[in-house]
Amino acid sequence: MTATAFEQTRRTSSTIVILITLAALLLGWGVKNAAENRTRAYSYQGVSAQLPAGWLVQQAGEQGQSAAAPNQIAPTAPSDDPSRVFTTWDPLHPDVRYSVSLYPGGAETSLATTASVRNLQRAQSLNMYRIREETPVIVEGREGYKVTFAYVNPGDISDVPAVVQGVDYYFASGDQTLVITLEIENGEVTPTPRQFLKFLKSVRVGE
Amino acid sequence: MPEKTSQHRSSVWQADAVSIVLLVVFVLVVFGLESLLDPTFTNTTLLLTGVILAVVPAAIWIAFFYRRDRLEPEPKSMVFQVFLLGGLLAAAVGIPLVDNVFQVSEWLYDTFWTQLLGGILVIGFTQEFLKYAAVRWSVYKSEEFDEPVDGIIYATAAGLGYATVLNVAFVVGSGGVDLGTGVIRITVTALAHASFAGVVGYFLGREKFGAPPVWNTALGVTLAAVLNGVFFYLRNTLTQGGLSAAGGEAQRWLGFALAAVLAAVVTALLATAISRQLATQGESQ
Repeated sequence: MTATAFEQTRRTSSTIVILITLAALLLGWGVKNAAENRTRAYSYQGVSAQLPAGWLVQQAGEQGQSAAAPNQIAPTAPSDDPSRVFTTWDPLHPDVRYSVSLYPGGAETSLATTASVRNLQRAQSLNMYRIREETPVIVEGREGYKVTFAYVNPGDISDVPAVVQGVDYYFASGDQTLVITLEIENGEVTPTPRQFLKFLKSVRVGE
Repeated sequence: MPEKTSQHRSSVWQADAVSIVLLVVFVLVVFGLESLLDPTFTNTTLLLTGVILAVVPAAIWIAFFYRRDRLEPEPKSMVFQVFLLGGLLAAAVGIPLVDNVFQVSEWLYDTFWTQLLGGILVIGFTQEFLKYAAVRWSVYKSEEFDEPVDGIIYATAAGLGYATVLNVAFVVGSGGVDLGTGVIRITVTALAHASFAGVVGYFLGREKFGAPPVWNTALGVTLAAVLNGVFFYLRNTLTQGGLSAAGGEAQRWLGFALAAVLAAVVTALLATAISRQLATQGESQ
């Protein structure tokens, strides 16, 4: 083989290495997407949703521990209230949690009024509760109401207090109001994480 | 020349074998010192000690390699440049791509399959391609790359550069490491990356001094990436889940033993492969 032919072969070989690496990375991106989008169906008290796979759940009435994993202590959720149906969180990142709540009063009560009542309750029970933004929204054709808020979670006596930012989505559902909440400790809720929006769209009542 | 080449090769394998033994001794010494002296560190001294420990495996390999590689030595500066290039590619491309673009910590440990496939396709291919690139587009065309075993030498240097940056990033990211646990992790990373890079280097040497098919080096990079993914999957599986302190310690040593065996087996296989390749070339000439 001549020197030129050798050089050509090496160049082709390098090109194949680059192409195979790019193909592997593309496949790897597919594996990443598949892992991130993996969900499991969950249903409790007439509310169903697609939860991110591997996330833990705390149902209404449970305190401190997860029913799905009894050894896993639930993250502090000072916004806990009797209307909450369940809270779910990633055990690897317990500072991000999604909650679903149901309030009495549906079509006859405006979503803004329900939001006002809920905000008033929170202002009385949470530290430094602040409403940052309120606005009507439409999610997949469903009319809703969005409230962005923040408060301080003092944690245990030995903890450094954390600022929690959150966003509530209110939707009318028959004679009830469905509230889907995202809360993030020491993080931003804007832009709203894609994974939460997917969860939000999956929540159904009475189906 | 054949005798000189043969001596050269055997000196390289001896250097590799001695480096592996020395790394085992290094780990045992650090463990022993920690047990005997039970040192107390400030945050700064803990960080500095961790960074120094992170550099030791590469220093041991380079020092021994220089001592043994006397008959037909590779230029020290060139080996060191490839080592630095491996480290630079890790810092500039490898770590940002794996940690920031692919964000592997968010999804990799989800299931068996994501860990294995993600480990091979994302981490394995990224790391092994960059080690390949550090050699292929630097020393490969040089006259100093003048026999098949040089592929292994330079790729190992690139692999150790890559491992050193990974180790320093780990130490700095953790704000320092516990000496016993840290030294095992650092040595496992160095041994493993040097071994995977050796595989890439073998195929690069074959490409330059033989007439292999065009997919030869791609096969080498793929093989190294698969080894990388499978090894770290096994290491993580073996070393996680120790509830008791004693159990956790035993699992860490198991991971370390796995890395030492991997390095020894890869070194032995590469030595055999190079010998066969040269014998085949000798017969055909």
